[in-house]
Amino acid sequence: MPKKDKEIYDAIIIGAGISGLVCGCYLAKAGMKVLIVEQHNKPGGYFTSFKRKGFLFDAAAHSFGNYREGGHVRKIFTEIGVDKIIKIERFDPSDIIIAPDFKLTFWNDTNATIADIVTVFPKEKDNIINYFNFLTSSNQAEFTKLKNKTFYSLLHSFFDDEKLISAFALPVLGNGGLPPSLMHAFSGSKIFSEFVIDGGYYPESGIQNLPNALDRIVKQNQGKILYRKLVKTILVANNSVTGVKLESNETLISKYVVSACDMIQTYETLLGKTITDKQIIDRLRNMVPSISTFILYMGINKPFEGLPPPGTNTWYLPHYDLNEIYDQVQKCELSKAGMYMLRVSPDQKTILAFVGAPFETPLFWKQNKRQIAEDFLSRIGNLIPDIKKNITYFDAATPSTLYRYTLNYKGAAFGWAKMPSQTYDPIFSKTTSINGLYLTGHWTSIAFGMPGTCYSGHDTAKRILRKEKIL
Amino acid sequence: MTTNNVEQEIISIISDVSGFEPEEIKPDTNLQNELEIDSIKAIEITVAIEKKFKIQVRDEDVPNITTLKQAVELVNTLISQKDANA
Repeated sequence: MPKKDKEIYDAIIIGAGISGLVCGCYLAKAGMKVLIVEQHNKPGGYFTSFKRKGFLFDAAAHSFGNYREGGHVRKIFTEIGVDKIIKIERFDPSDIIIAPDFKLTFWNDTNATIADIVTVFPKEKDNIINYFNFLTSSNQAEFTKLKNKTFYSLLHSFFDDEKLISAFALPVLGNGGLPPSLMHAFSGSKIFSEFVIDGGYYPESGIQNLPNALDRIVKQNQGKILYRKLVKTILVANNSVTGVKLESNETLISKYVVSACDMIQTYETLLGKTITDKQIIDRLRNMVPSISTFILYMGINKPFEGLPPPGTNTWYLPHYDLNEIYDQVQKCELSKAGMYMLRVSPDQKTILAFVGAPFETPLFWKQNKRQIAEDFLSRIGNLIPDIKKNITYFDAATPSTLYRYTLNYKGAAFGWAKMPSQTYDPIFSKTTSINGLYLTGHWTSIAFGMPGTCYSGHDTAKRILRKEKIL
Repeated sequence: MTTNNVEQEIISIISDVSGFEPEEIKPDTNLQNELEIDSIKAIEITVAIEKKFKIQVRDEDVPNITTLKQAVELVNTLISQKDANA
């Protein structure tokens, strides 16, 4: 009996998060036959939206940065044509930091931001200007010198005032999952410059429209995306990839496989311990993932007194000891941790708030989600008293939820923890030791978030295109 | 470790980080312009070199690594200084 023809692709990408999609766009546009396989029912990874009871919520990521003229994300979106499909808007201010003794506002106009911060910290005037100049400079060697420094040492090299240091480190803790004493100076400075100074961008009508546009570009270039399909195995013969096997037992053949999954999943589950070198498994087991997050979703009837401006990320700093906050987050004492980010959606119908959280277990979250969510809401109520009576829909996502939808190891929000000790290990290169197998995504670099995942998706695509002599 | 081995090891690191094939990495190839080594990749290369040769690249050395040749010279110097201090 003739066997059904197996489907043959040039490249199969596992995971339709931003890095997998960007990689797929570049490969498909170069003429390669691309298939992306995604276990969820929609593209985006942490960059998705969902509807409940008539409200549209952004699931995790709620704005992005690095979209200025000349910014890397802008370059990539222009090259692959995202800007022709959707409109990107920018909110002003992008971020507000509310500390016990002061408030800092990050305007789209950097000079206005600097002027405002100087009025709060007049003694630090020159240091603030020097810090912003450093972050926005294009002197590559200066950033390379950060190779094994912490963000705290970088901030301390500019500032004397510990309150200012903590306030500047707060959005870095929120957007990167580590306090300044543990955060890599390069990652910290990039979060500050690419997420905050050049932050506040948003795809018109919701986060989901961005990955949807990338999905469309892949398909316009004869690529294919399979949703609700889980890859079970990456197939390897004679140290070269031959394709993937799905959970549904279908075999798909390809010359290249790109894994946009975390490395534990790639090496231990998809390749398996018979193929993966024991040294890699040992090394992976010693790596520390970034923390996960606990997210509140609130639907409101109409805007009310006390809410921050829509589209602005508002960060609440309860006190100035970020190490203490991080310790409480790791112990899952989220109320004691006290910090959080709150954002009113541009349509002013929903509010998203989040705080870092440890992975724990699915059972733990099943038993404690409700109570933790209510405690969190009460804390918000201390600052915005009218919030409780104006909410008509209320739910939360736990680290278990994030894991379920994205399969990121331990629900990690930012790949590996971005500590100087985890900067880079050649055995985790995007070009693996198996011919045709490549990695991409926030687990492959000290960069992450929209700038990092765009960067790595593009970088991995270029590796393959160079190998194919298309570049 | 011989100079030749040092060069081969550094080529392998640059190849892993940049995604360019080892044959494309010549002594005078400009890392930034020809191999697209930006600050992230420069950090990755420097950290990998430090781990591989158990040396510390000082801040003042960083701007001087613009080609493979310079990287090899610097690593050889740092290794000999380390050996002299050992």
